[in-house]
Amino acid sequence: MLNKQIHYSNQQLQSWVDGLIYKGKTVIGPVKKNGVTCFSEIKNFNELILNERTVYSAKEVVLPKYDILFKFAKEKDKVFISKNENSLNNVIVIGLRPCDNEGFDYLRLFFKSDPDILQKLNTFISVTIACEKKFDGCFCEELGIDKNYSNKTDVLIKTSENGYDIYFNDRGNEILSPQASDVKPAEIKKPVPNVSIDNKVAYLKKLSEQYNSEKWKIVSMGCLGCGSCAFVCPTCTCFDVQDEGNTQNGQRLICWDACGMGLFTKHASGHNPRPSQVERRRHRIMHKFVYTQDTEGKISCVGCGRCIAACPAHLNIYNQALQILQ
Amino acid sequence: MEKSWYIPYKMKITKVINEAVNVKTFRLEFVNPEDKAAFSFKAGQFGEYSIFSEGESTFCIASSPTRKDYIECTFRTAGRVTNALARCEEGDILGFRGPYGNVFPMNNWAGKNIVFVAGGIGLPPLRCVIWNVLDLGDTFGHITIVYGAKSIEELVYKDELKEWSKNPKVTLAVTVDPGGENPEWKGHIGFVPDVIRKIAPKSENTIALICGPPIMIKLSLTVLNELGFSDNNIYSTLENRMKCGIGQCGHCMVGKKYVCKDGPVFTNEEIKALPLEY
Repeated sequence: MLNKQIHYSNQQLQSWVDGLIYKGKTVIGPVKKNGVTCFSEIKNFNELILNERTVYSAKEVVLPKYDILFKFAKEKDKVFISKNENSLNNVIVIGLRPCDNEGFDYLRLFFKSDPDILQKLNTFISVTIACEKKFDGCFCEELGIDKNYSNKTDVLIKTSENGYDIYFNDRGNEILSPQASDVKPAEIKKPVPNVSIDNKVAYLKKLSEQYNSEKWKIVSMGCLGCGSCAFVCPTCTCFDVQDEGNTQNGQRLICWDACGMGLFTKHASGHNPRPSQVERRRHRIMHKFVYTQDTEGKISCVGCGRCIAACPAHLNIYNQALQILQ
Repeated sequence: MEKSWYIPYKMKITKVINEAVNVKTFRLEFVNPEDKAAFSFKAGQFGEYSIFSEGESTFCIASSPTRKDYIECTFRTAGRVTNALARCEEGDILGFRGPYGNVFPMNNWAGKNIVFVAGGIGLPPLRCVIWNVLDLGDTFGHITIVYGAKSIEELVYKDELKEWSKNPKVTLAVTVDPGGENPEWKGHIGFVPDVIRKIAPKSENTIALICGPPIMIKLSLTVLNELGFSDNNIYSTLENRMKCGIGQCGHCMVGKKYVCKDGPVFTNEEIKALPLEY
């Protein structure tokens, strides 16, 4: 619970972040890498890009593009395996958006029986920036998410006159370690629960009645099967397992995959259960808005709009779902 | 160090059998005795078999859980991993993780007759159940096995077929597609669904298990239904592409179901409720 608040000037915010890095914390935040904004470790505050929505969501903090599962070495008739250890101890992720937190919330449900990933999800300290404005293609509010508030974070930063109002919970208090005299009880306007979201969710579930609709052909027509939507999505979890190496040594990797790609479901026999973009696009939309309602108890789209911005064919997943339902 | 789900057991290949063109069976034994002691599985489950530096591939466990010293897998060479596996020899070390997936509910089948219908490389998943049933002696009723392949060369487990044919508890009908026979062939000639119709196993107090190419399954189900088998007494095992085996990677999804976690064993009633994504 965000129970305390403090006011920081621009300078104070910068000093705080630089101070964390100085104290040996690993600080991850939105930066530009090869011209693309994504979450990556920073060495000083000025690297942060806090006025954009990142192209890649923050999920890669927990689920990197690729991760080493273990390394192996072969010697005569013996194989040695060493597990790769990585944790998010001492990690602070700054610059999350409310949609990123909703994404992590979904990942906690999806990976509920995976202790490794769950531990990562619950270890890092989250510092969220409320969105003052909508970014291009965002529709989080359509799905009942408040762009200006998140209770799924340790620290929430809202811009105010002459700087920032910073709200924090007990974990946030530890990393902020503010002067006691500056701290006030949090006075934050929590969003009124949006009653219409239940109706929206129920309406989206009706997509299952349209499984055989001819309209899927229309909405999938532009899809190139490039997988960009899945790669930037905060809740897409699909992955591939691949080996790298030679006959002596190497590593087994887990790496991002995308259900939009033709090879994703293709059997070794050549048979493909989802043979064209029609079935693949349908699966994606059904998975986000229908299937996870049954498997995880909620829709798994957080309305961040990243997939819409990333799509070379400008497909809009939400509008397409509504188009099918019309 | 906690054992990650992805760290495989190390298995030594102790026997290689060339079953048919491009089809091999490996017998695998645990390298570490403590892994062997901790391991158990049930008929219907599968695993991820890997060759270090090439990757993992998904096959059922084709041996019976009643034979505890080893597991066996039978595979056809098709891609990078299976081609690399096919080059392995006795003594080589492979990775194996599993067992994964649900099981055939054999506890509910005591006293019942069982009909096995398999085509081509669809026999291995059922072979696990066949030996399990036979090893348990009088627990089950009469066994009927209908197995077909394109040609005599493509039949797998040729020695075991001979063994089953001599077992008084078993009615075995082996068939090859027209043109796949030779002058010495004494089995059936024709497609599996036609052979089922010809030998017409009784559906009363009987469970049917089916595995094989989609077209064989489709036509055989029609025949089984004609013979009076209800959809909840017909079991099949689905084999979608898989990467993790534990309901995470998303590859095997059929609608909202994960073949690796909710399956691979489904009744025909359950399969009919799934979207056609398998």
